[in-house]
Amino acid sequence: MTRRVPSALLCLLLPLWMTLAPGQARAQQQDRILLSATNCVLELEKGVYHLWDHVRVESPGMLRISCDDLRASLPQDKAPGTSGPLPTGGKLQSLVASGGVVIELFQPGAGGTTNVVRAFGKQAEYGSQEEILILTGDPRIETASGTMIGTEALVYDLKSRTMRNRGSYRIELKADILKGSTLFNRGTNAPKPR
Amino acid sequence: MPSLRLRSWLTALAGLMALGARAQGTGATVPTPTAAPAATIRQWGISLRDNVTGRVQLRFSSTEASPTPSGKGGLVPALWDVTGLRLESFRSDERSDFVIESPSCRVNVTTRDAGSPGTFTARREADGVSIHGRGFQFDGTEKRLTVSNSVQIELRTRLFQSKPASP
Repeated sequence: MTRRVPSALLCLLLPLWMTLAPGQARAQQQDRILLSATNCVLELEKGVYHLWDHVRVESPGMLRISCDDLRASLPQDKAPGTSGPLPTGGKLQSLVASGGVVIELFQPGAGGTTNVVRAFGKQAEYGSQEEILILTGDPRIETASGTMIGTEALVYDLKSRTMRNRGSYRIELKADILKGSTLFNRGTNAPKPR
Repeated sequence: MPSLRLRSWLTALAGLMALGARAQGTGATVPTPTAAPAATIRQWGISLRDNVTGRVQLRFSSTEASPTPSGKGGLVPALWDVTGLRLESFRSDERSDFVIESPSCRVNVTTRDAGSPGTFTARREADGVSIHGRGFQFDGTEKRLTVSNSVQIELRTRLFQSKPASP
């Protein structure tokens, strides 16, 4: 005897599945990092990866890096009682990108929009301990509202999404952000014309 | 009935060649082809062990393998041209580490390396790392994979936790 799923139950579950599925798919997308390049040397046991020529790193929906040279490290714990290493869940320990580094960070904005922050430099380092990106070599970060240009290093905290600097820096704001602002449209104490 | 015995022995040998031979080597032992020179061996395989511990480090297997001809008309016993390669690397506790597969490549069982200008895939089940590309050389002693044409690597991890949408 075969049992049929009541159509009413399907009607209830289908909208729920349609609500959850995109979120799960997005989470699965974010749980992977894609590295690509023309050349590489992978120390499979040590977990040290060196890629060069047309290097791209992509964390779908979150981050994209392009550069000439990349060194990535996936730490390998030593198993107790053995001399051999064991992989540690594929967790990325560090990334060092160099040569024409361009980083694009995608952040969810209001109303389902995506804000893109672009960073440029000669070298970028990512450390999983602090979850920071350190940009050096004529570092520059562009956002929708302006550009931050550093002389030594710009440090972007990925957790708090805050920026700090080493050395001096300057900020160039886009004139657009003053549109509609009353900052330069206030009354003055000049005598009123008669 | 010596001729009958010889015929049955030849039949058995032909059957062995048809079904394929599996060579099992230890250490740096070079497998001896069980078929006639320049013959293709089906279901070819060899396990290479650590010289000190005797534990399996690498296992090469393929659907077909042929000893590589040398320039002087002979065969190079250590070099094999294989199709359908499956190369499995083991950790020191003999648990499987990663698997490299290539439709066609050349294997050197003495130096424990394999390479091909063609395509390949590599994966490690333990952490979900998967690699595919074109033009590879694998150094089995150092467990080093060099790719010279194109490579894509997928890591099952995330760089950082995303924050909820901000206005």
